[in-house]
Amino acid sequence: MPDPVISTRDLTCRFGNTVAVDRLTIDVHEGEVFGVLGHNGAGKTTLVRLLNGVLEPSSGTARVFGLVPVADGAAVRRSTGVLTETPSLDERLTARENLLCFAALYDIAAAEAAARVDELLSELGLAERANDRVGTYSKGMRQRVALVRLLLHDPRLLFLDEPTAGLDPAASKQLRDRVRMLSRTRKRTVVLCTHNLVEADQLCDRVAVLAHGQLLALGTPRELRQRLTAAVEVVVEVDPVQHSVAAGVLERLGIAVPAADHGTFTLPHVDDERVPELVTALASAGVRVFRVEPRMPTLEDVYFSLQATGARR
Amino acid sequence: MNRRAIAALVRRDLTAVFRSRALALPLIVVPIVLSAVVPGLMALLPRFTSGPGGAAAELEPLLAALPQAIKAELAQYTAEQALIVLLAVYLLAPLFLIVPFMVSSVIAADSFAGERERGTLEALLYSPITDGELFLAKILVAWLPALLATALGFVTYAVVVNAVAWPEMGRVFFPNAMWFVLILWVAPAVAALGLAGMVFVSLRVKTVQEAVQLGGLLVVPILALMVGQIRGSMMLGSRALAVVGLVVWIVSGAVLLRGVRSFRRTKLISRA
Repeated sequence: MPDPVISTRDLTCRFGNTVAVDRLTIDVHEGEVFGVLGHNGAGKTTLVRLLNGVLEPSSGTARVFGLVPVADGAAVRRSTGVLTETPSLDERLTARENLLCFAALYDIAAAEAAARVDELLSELGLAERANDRVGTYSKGMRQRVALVRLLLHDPRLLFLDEPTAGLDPAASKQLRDRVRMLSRTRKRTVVLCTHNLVEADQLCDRVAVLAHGQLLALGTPRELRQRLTAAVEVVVEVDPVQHSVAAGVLERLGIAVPAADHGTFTLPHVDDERVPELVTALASAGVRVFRVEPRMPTLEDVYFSLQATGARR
Repeated sequence: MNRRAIAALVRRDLTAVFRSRALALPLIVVPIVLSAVVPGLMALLPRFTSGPGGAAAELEPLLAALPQAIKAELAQYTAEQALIVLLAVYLLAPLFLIVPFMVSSVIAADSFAGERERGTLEALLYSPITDGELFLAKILVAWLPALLATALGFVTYAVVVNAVAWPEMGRVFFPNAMWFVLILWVAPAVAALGLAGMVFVSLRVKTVQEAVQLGGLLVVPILALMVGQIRGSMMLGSRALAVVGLVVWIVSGAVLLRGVRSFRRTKLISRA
C-alpha cells in the first residue's frame, strides 16, 4: 500500500490548559474523501492548521506527503488548498484581482493564471461579476470565489472547512459533484470538516468523529453505523389480507412482532443477516410481500450516539 | 525568495489602500498640505509682515539663538530674505518629516492590523509564501510609498518655496545641503520608524484604529524636534541631522528586528 498522504501519530495541540487536538492518530490515503466530524471546538480547524504547518504541535507527529508541515510548511502548502469557513477575500478588490494575487503566491505564470481564473470563474457562474469588487458580492458568491482560489493551483490535497455553508442548494450540489470528481477521477485527496452529516454520509469514504480534540470513532460511514448496532430496523409490507399469516411466520422466526398497520410491520433490532431468511420464509408461506426495507441507522444517529456516550474507538 | 509573490502582495495591498477613501484621503491631502500649502504660506509671510514690528522683528530673539553656522548663512540675506530662509529651510524641516512617517504608519497599520481585522490573513497563511517573504512584502508596502511621497513632496516643496519667494529672493535658494541629508538619510529612517512602530503595535492589537492610536505616539519625537527648531534650542545643521538620522535608523532597525522575530504564522494564526 502506498504511503498515506496524511499520517499523524499522537498529534496533540494545546492552548494553555485547553487541549484542542488530543493524541490523534490517523492515516488518510490518496484519492480518499476523509470526513472530520465534530461540534464547534472539537478540534477540526486546529487539525487543518496543524496539517498545513500554520500551527505547531505541542507533541506527537504529523506528516503530509511525507513532509513535516511545521518544518516544510511552504512545500506542504504548495500541494494543499484550504477552503476556510469564511471566504477570507479582500472586499476592496475585485474577484479577479484577489485571485490573480493568489495565483502569484502559488507561482503560477501570469498568462496561465489569467486563463485559469477565467475558466474557473466561468464554471462557477461568476464570469460576469469578475471585475466587480468582492464587497458587492453576496455571501454565497464570495464562497464561490474562495472555491476558485482553492482550485487555482490544482492542489493534490484539499481541506474543506464547512464548504457548503452559505451556498444555495444548486451551488452545494455543484461543489459535492466537484469533490467526487476530484477524488474519483483525479485521485485528489479531500479532508472534509463538516457539521453536515448528510453531506459527510454522501461524500466521505471514511470519517473521523472528534470531540474535545479526541478521536471518538474512525471508519467508513457503514462501519460506524454497524458499530452502533449490528441490528437494523426492517419494514415489511405485505398484502393486508395476509396480515395474520405473515405475523405467524415472523413469530415462528423468533422475531418480536409489534402492532402492525394494514400489513406493514416495523421490526426493530433484526440482525441484517436474517433479512434474506425472513423474506424466504414469508414467500414460502405464500405471503405476497410488497416491500422489505432494512433501515440502517444514519450517520447522524451514529454521530449523536458517539457524542452522547463519548464512546472510544 | 519568491519575488513574484512579494510583488503581487505589494500590488494587492496598495490597490486596496488607495481604494479606501478613508485611507487614501489623508495619504494624499497631508503630503500636499505639508509640501505645498504650508511652505507656500511661509514663503509668502514676509511679504505681508515686513516693516518695523513685523514678523522679522519678532523673530530677532530666535535669530540670535541660532547656531553660528546658520547665523553666518543668514547674514548674507536681507531681513525679509533671512526670515524666508529660516522658515522654509530650517523651521519647516521637521514638519516635513511627518510625510514619510504618516504615509508609512498608516499603510503599515492597514497592511498588518487591517489584514487581521478584515479576516483576510488566514488565506494568506495557508498559501506557500514564507514568513520572511510575507514580512518583507508588508514592509515594502508601507516603506516604498513613504519614500515616493517624500521624493514627490520634496520636489513640490522646492518648486513652491522657490517660486513663491522669487520676488524677495531673486534666485533659487532651496534646497541646501541639510535638506539633502534630511531627504536622503533622515526621511527614509523616519519612514522605517513609522512602519516599525506600527508592526510592533499591530502584532499586539486587533484593529487598525487601535494600531493607529498607539503607533501615532511615535510622532512625539518629531513634534519635539519641531518645537526645538521653533524655539531655536535644537536648530540642527547637516551633521547634527545626520546623527539624528543614525539614531532613528538604529531604533527602527531594532524594532523591526523584534518584529521579524515575532512574525511567525504559528503565532499570527492564533490571533487571526
